[in-house]
Amino acid sequence: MEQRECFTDEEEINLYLDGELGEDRKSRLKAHLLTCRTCSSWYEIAHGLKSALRRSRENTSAPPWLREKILNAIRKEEPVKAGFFWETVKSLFSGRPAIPIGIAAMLIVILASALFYGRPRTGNMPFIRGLVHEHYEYMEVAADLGIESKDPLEISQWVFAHAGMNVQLPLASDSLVPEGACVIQESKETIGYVYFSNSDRKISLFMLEDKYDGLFGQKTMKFENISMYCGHCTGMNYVLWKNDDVVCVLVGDLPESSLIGLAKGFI
Amino acid sequence: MKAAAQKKERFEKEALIHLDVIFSAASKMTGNRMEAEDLVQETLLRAFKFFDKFETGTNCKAWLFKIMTNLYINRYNRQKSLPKAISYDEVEDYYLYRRLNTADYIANSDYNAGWIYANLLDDDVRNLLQELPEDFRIMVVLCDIQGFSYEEVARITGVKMGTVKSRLFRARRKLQKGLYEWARMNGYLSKGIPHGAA
Repeated sequence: MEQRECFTDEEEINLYLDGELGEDRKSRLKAHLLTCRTCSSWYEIAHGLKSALRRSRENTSAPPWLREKILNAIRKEEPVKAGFFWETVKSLFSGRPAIPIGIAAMLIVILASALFYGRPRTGNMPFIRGLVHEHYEYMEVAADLGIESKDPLEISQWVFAHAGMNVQLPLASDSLVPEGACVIQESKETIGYVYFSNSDRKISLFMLEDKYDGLFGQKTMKFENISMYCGHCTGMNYVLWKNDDVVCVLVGDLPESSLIGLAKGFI
Repeated sequence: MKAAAQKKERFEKEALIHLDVIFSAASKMTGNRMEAEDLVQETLLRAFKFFDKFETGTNCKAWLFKIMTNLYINRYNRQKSLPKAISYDEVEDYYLYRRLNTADYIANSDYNAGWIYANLLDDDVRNLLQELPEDFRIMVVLCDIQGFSYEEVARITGVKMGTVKSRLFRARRKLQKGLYEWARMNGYLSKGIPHGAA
């Protein structure tokens, strides 16, 4: 039969185990452990597990190739980028003056709907790659493209228009967010939103990102029958979503293995 | 140009020295080597990218852990497409725990905890950890394996300290349950010499 005063309520013993118990409670518990067989057995078991876990902290070295890869990446002048994204940029802007490779690709998410592809789809969803947007290099790329405006909104509109996409962007200057849009990230200086138009099944994503204070931002949202994940990974924004009739779009400058891994999760 | 070179040097000196520890924790969190390698790579590259935000002299290891843990959280959250269903696990666990804590565990004189722990291999630990849901597993890796305090874990994961504690304690309970099963399956609970004993 259990005694009322027993510490089989694990909290006390756990706190003691972690050295987070105040002096008074600690001495009370220690005294109790000397007399109570149940609790001292339990303590022994809990303590043994924690020690076993601690011992399992293998100090295995990271594989040498991993260290090398990281060192190489940070020693280069340019940020790490996936080659195929840059090819997409070039193909979309063919005819334009050549854009130096040294500038990080500009990415704007372009989401295509089933209509865009001209046929309904179910089940297997291919993914298309969009352009990668890195706000820090935004202005440089704009200049190279011959865009005079410094306004990210206008720049994006320009890019959308030249990519042949009919995307509705807000024109009102007092609000960056169109009606019906879902704000996914907002801070003092930045706002990111997703705009859905369910009638013609078009979806657009527009992100303005400034200096990123927190290192992470992630939100999962549902809009009607569409699930959407927005996240940040290695400094690039990406969006994945899944819906029976909507193409899954991946954007972002991710290592290829991550990209494939992400895509696989959605197909 | 000089600033860039300095940044790289500083990074190698302050951050890259933690590569092995980060890798070790990543393998425990993800449970598989390939994913760990991927996670570590992303972590370090991201850390380098944001290295200007890091204050020299402060705890770089904790900062790197914060990046890695959050990248990992992002990853497994992404895989969830459904809202969290109500889990009856908790209720079941409670009763199992109470039962284990009294009759079976303690009264079972053959449950030689010391012997069991001594025979627990690293792979066994990894397997036991994989049985935990990710947000519990993270707590065990950070607190019990890596030795961060509750407060440090709260900062790393962005989770309230109260939640850190409750998740950690529940995780330990689940591990004990898993360990009990492991012990039973490997013959540590039957009378006589356990299987595999020297």
